[in-house]
Amino acid sequence: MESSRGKPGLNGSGGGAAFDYSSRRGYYTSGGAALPPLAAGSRAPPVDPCCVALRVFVLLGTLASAVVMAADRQSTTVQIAAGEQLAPPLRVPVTAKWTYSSAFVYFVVANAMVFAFSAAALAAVRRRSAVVPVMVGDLVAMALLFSAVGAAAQFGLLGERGNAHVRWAKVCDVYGPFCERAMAAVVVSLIAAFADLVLLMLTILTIHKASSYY
Amino acid sequence: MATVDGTTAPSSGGKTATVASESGGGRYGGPPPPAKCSGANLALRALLFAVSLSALVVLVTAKQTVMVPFVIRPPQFILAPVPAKYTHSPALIYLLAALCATCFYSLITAISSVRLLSSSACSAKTLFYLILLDVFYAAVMASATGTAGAVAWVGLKGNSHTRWNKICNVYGKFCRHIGSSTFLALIAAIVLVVLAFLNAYSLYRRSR
Repeated sequence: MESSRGKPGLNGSGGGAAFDYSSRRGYYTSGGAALPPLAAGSRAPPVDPCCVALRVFVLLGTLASAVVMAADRQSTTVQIAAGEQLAPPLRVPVTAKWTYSSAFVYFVVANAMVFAFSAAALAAVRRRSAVVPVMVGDLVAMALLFSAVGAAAQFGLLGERGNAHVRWAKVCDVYGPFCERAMAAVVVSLIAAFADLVLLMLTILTIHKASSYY
Repeated sequence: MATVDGTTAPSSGGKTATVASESGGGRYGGPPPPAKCSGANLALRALLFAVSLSALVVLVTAKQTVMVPFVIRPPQFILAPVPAKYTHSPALIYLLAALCATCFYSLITAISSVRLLSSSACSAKTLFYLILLDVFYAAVMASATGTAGAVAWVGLKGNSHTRWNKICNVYGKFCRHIGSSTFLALIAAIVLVVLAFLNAYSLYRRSR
């Protein structure tokens, strides 16, 4: 376990010196710092409650957005004036579902993936060997979440305003509640994405503080 | 110093601990030697600048005018020119703004990492600020890519449920420009993520 820790080029003997370095850090920072007194075997990294709280918030936010978007569905009837001959206009039942749009499907899938990753990262928060994979996964998850929020928000905006130049009509005047629920899910996911960004910055700050150059 | 080495010797093997105290004496005695910023940093930032600049240029030159028939009365129609520009969609304007910001940022940080390479010392504070900014710009580029990608996808495939027709069969050149710009923006976002990871990993290695 100790042999894997070693600064390249600084440490001629490998494992033994690395263990000395960690105990030296405990020796210097044992006065009131967050590091627990390092015994011979216990190497659990200190768990920052702020990071855990943010990760739980990201977990709940992505779960809520994915569930709200996946349960979003509306059936309504649309009146079509069939012409002057038929007196009563035709009423056609139409449905709006989230699967009708690739952007919303990508949004639900991305939120589900970030939820699964956050759950795994919460479970692995005590293991020292999981710091780097969690950081990599956090970066990728944050980028994925932001792109999914952008795509779903843009699709919602197209539905609300349409686009006059390419003759795309707005649909949210027909599907009002559907659009509202979808945009609520997008807003919650956006807040969760910002929380993920802050969490990533806090993680990097923690690594920077533990660095020997701080 | 000697007491620390002495007390921890039994758990890691006395021989290796004494070797460490003999050969690594300077390491414990003074500040650790400064580590160099890697050249991969500069190369990736130059790549980022190239990619974002080319995406910007491709987006701004996406212009096409097509003659579309407009029916006045059933047998008669006139051909009118209908333009397509990137300003017609708010998503593409957002992509333009994000690409401008990323281009400017990559230029500044590429120049500063040239200076860091030549001064042969990479301070952790600089690295820390670079990582924070890299992460922030990665988020911005990812969201811009997702937004422009959604519009490009609807333009390419249309959406039968909302009765939105696809436009890429009419505007071929415009769609190619928008598609390549979105793809280049995706590459820029990936390069930013890789940069952030590389710098964060090297910061992490210094703390081990």
